[in-house]
Amino acid sequence: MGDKNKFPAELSHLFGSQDSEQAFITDYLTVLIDTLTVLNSSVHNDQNQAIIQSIENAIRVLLPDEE
Amino acid sequence: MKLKKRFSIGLGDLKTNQADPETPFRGAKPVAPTSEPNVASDPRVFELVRPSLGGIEVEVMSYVEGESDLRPLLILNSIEFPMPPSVSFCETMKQNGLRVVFIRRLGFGGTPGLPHVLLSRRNIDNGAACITEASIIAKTIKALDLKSVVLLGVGSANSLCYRLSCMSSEIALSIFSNPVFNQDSWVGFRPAWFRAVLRQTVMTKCAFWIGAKGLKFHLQKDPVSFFHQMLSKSLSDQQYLAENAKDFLAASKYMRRVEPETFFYDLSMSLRIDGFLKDRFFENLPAVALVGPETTAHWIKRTKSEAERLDIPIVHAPRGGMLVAYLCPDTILEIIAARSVACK
Repeated sequence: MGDKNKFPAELSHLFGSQDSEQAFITDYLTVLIDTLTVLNSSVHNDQNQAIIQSIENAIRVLLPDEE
Repeated sequence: MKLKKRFSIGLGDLKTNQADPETPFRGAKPVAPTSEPNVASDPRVFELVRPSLGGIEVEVMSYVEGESDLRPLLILNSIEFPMPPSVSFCETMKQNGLRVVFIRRLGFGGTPGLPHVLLSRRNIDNGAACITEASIIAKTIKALDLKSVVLLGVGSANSLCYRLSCMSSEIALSIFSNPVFNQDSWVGFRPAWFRAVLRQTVMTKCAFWIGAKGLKFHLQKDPVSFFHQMLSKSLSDQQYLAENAKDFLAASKYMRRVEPETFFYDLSMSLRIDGFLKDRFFENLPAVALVGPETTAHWIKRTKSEAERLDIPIVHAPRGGMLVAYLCPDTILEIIAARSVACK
């Protein structure tokens, strides 16, 4: 998770073609994964856990189905 | 930080879009220069900020550019009024060492909303939609290099602000104005037709777009009447409407661009039970709830009850209802002064 600048390119390989909607979703995934990385390295408490769970839910929704 | 495109948000903007007011656009457009003197002199200028790499853009008004040494008062809008506070409010804050930074939320008429796949009932209820918006705002705070932020949530923005206050280390104090929390909120809405539309909007998926269409129809037909009725519980709110009519006309334009899914998301977060708000949620957070007196006794009683459960102090403003935050800058200044010890 080191260089956040790599995420868009890495995630783009998950998609077949990069139309605007997919690129839009990739942008959101990039932000969510970056946020998750920060939260995972911060103090853990109940609130943090709930936020992490919500972010994981969002990432699951936005990731394309594996085929 | 990536800043681009500056544009004003005044009557000139409204006029620019009157020819095609219902056409949504992906990404806010700069507004053409106007000869309206009030618009030209309005210092509340918006910019588009990209919080990260990629194409996501957020509309930000910073009052005023070049005042970066002032402490930021970050305001997130409610669905019924996606506009910054008056120039008078911003000036009062500036004179007291605060810089108003207003973010118009994603999908509230200026920029594209969250991806539709996040705006299903399931993904609203499991927190995925709201946490995604919070992540974008947190990134925007970093992109703007805001420090020791005072966060001011208005109305329906508070569900987002609860999460943001936990997520962003840059937020030193949170003020949740006119919060709904988890309460039986239906009885608090007036007039009855507005209450019925809201209830319909969040109760069933097949009906939510009908409710949204109804709101937009009313807004298009007579925007001033719409806001006048919505604010009918509070004479102070109505006075703010009268003094800032151009802002409400602009607000009506933005509201008409909001997609039904975004209405559904925002109202569902505010009016349904938010499982994120566990008992004593605010125990270790520097936060207060701000409520005005010009609402129903039932609403105030239920807010007090929920505040006790969540362990958050309530500050009672001297006037106002839904617009209490914009009506009472002095109360906000008092809160910040009183809480300065808790602020980072």
